[in-house]
Amino acid sequence: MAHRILSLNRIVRGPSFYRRHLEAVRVIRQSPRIAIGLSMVLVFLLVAVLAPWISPYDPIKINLRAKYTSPSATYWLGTDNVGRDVLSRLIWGTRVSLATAVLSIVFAVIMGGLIGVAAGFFGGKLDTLLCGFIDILLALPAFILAIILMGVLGRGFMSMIFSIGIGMAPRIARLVRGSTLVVKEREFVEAARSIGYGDWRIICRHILPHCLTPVVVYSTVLLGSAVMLEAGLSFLGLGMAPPTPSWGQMVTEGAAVMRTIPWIVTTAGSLIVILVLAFNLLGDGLRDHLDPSLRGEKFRE
Amino acid sequence: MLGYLLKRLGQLPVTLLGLFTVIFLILRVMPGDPVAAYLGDVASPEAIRDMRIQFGLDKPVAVQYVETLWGMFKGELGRSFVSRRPVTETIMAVLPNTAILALAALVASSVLGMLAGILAALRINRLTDYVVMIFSTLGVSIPVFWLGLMLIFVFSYKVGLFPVAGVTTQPTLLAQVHALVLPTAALGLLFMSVVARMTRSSVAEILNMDFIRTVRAKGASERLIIMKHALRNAMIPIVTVIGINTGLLIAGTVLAETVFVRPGVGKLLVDAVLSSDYPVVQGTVLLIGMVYILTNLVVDLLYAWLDPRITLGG
Repeated sequence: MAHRILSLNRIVRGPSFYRRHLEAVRVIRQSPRIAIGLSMVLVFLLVAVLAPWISPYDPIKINLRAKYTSPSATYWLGTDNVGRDVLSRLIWGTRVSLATAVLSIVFAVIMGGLIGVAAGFFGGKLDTLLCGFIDILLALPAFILAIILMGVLGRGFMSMIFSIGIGMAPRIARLVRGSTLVVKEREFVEAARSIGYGDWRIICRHILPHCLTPVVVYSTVLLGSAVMLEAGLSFLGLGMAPPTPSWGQMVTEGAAVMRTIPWIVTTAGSLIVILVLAFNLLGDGLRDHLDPSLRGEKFRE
Repeated sequence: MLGYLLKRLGQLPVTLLGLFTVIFLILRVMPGDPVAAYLGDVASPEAIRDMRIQFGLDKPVAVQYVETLWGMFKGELGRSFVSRRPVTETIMAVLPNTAILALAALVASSVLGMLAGILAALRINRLTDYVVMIFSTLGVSIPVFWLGLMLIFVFSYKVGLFPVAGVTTQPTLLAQVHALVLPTAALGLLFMSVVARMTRSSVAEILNMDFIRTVRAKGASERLIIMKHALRNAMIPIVTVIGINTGLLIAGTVLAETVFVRPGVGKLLVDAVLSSDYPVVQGTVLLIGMVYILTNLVVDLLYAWLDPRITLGG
């Protein structure tokens, strides 16, 4: 009897705030991948936020008298071709990588979410049109699309968010459209409609909350790809405009002198690998835990 | 089946037309002037005007669109702004290079990835499995360009085993293959890791199924079980993952060609983008789009062949 009341209580009121947070703790304890990935991401986040205070030198200050110095007590990781401190540039580069990845995915979720919901919910001609558009964008790998857009828009932070976001948006759109199509047919949507709710309210109150879990999981998986895309674009000279420090660009700069001073290439590249690894661990962990149905989508760019 | 194939092939020109339109619009409507970029800041207004006329950039965008499209029907992709050579010729000259690199990486990484995945699945939750999983988790996190540089650093600079450049003028097959090793490894590792992980999980899943127990009970050898029953059934997700990730391979080719200074379609595209060479960008992008769409079609056909339960067309 007590059990029945408890479960009834749960149905009526839903999980409490406290219980929801307990759930998060339980998930982290059960899945080492989520725990490791999350802590790694948090460390990067901390470094990015604290960059002005923890970086020993100004990352863009040129000092031609100290160019290409080896790692020493003064410059822990040495200096680059114009005497800028490598460590400081790496620390500030964390900001670029994190901000580009997160904001481009946010942009992709907003764009893709709108397109996906509109296509799935309203159907008909609009669906055909939007799906055609999605298919065209999906006819190119995201990286190739980003290369072209960066070439046209020119280097810079906003162009990069836009270029990477556009590549990711059709993938989110397809996911949201699929979820919308399923949720749309459920009884509670019919019930909501029968008591006179409008489209807008149904979308906001009933459709979107149901798309949330798959979108959050998939976005986390895509974050790793976004870091890779940003690094690749910067490596090709199609990323941030100099002198803003970015890891991919530091790999290019370091590659020119790799034979004699390998530490610029190795450190900048290792950081890219570790950040991508962190997002991948977190994304894979979340996916296996919350939404195993997304498995096949695992490495879709 | 044939009807389905024809329908899909029929969609190809429609998608390509859409792709061409989108790319054309991106290149013409968005800010940025190729002629100014090409001639530089010192060019006189007359020189810029002459060049615009020469490349037909003075005409309205709609006219340019129709003209370019008409040219493509005749198999001409226009002339490069920079080299003035026909785009088709430019692409065809380097296409074999790219195809060889991409195929080498695809084959090597699929075979090695499947082997590693099967090994891991057979020893699931044991040391071999952990080693494969750790390496493949790391493998999907390493950018192609950085791996390429590290391979050059170790195997070219330190050990001196392989050349720095990923292409050679020496005509012998051995020299060609020798130069191809590092680019293939750089491009293939990520793909191999993806395939290994997928193979591991799908083979492990199949090995747990009832029919495998039946086969085992009949006394079939372990080798027969794996080769004939487990692998064949596990092929569908593996083929899917290979198909889904051709995009990774294409993107990786661009980076590998840049790192190893290997002439190819990817390097052509990057150079064209950096020098605002629109006709070359259009040509390479259409080619990449076509390859990408056709690969997806091949993957869908492979499904039907591997799993008779799947009927195409429905």
